[in-house]
Amino acid sequence: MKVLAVARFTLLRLRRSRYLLSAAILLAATMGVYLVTTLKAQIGGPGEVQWGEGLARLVMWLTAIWLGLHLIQDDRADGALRSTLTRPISLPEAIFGKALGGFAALCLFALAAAGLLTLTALLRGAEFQWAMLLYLPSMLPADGLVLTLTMALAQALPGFAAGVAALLARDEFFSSRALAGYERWLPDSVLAVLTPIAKTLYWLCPPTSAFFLSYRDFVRADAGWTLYLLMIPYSLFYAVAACLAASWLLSRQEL
Amino acid sequence: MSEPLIELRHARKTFRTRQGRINALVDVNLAVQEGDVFGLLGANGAGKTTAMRGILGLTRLDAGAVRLAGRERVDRRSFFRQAAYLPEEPQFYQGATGREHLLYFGRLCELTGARLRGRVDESLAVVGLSDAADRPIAGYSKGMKQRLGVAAAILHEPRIVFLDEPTRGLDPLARREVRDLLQSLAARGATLFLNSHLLSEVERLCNRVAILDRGEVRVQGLLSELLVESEHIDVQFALPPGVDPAAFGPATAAEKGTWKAIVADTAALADLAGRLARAGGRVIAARAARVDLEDYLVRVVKENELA
Repeated sequence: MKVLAVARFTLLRLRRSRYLLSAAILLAATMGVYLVTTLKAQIGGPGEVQWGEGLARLVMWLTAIWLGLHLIQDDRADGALRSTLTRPISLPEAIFGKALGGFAALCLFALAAAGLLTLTALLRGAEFQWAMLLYLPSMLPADGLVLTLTMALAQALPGFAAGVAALLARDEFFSSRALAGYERWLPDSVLAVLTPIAKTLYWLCPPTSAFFLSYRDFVRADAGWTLYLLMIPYSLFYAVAACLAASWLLSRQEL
Repeated sequence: MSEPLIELRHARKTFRTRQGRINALVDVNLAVQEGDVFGLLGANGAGKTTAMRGILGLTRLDAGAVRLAGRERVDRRSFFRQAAYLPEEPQFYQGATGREHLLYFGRLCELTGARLRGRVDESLAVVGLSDAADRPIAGYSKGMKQRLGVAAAILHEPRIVFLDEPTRGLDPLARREVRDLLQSLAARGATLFLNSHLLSEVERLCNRVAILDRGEVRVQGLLSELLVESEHIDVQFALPPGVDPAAFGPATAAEKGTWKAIVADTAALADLAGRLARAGGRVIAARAARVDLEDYLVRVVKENELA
């Protein structure tokens, strides 16, 4: 109940703050770019939708990092976190609530973006496909993970460094696909050492936005919807761990 | 005496800064009884805020224990079910209304449904903010924010309310409003733990005080007893020419060639009068006097400096 109360108030704050407004402006800009670039096309099609989805995806991902950097830090700066923590609520509950509120904001964003993209594509004459509507929401577990991971990083590092670290948390740096790319310029002896380290890091660290690609790299199978479903417990596990890490880091500091 | 409601035992806290180590608390022991209006006094940097934040768990103490109603504090939740905190400047999200904030805090205090709405309305009425409840905080004056802070603090009817400089920065009218509110809270039986260096406020509100100086408790007890202990008699006396006033204790020159001295009680006054008579002098006036809290605080701190 208390987690939900914090989440609800966080969402209220976000609804009335510059963050969601900024995200909405970014989303509108994305749609604008998408529309302008597809004007020349005779018929709108799935390829165009994917292009727009890619843009919206990027905005969502950056929004998750942005929220992760600010959700707790802003509350700390204006004393709201102290006001919350002088109620009968534990620190992890407060952090989970903040994360849930931020995630709810991301959900609203994803749904709005998916709806707009689908509508735009249909108006351009594309045939309706469920993937148009479901692609962006299906990425939400990964974005939730980015959000919580950034929240934790922001408790240990200065804002800019935390943002950069969150950007680097994409799994492109650890996946076998990435290693295959390094083959061109790394000697075999180095790769032989690097590969097991990279694979260990991959499983230990929370790779985020391109999880499904890396998963396919490892299992060498087109898992389809199973893959998306797997993302949920995987992301949830790391998101909970990140929230607990953020709580622990925060508990070591003056509030 | 019954078990204190709040007890801070052997609290120590050192801050490490670039300039070196600062001992904010040096073995501090405080005890507040149920129903007390307790004032924690001291100059700036004496350690008042650190002590209060240590009790509240907002500052990690290096050593020491906080006990609530005889029990070691287990976690934040159980502590704040019975306690509330009003910071020096209550902070609220400017975009939300007063009522939205109280509903939020009420939910965190495990209030739900009709009871939550009822308590919010009651608290708003107590602090006189019913009319402004649905306006964004951004439009509130400093006094209104302070009153909203009080409303948030009393929402779940805590046994003890911690107040950090509750009237600091307020104009005289707003200060009186907050003071009246605190008096009405105390009248309802709430225990108040007040951290202030506005001594006139403390003198009006508190029944028990502790004086902190450089991280150590110098004096602690009932205010009435402490001030009675410091009662004395101001004596004005005259001496014939050529008699040294220093022979009658520390004396200062007063008007028309007379002298002033301070004696502890009537016995000391009788002794002084006898000695004066033998030297050809006489007592012109004697007046029982009582120091106020400010004088008392200064005296305690200065005595400590000399020691």
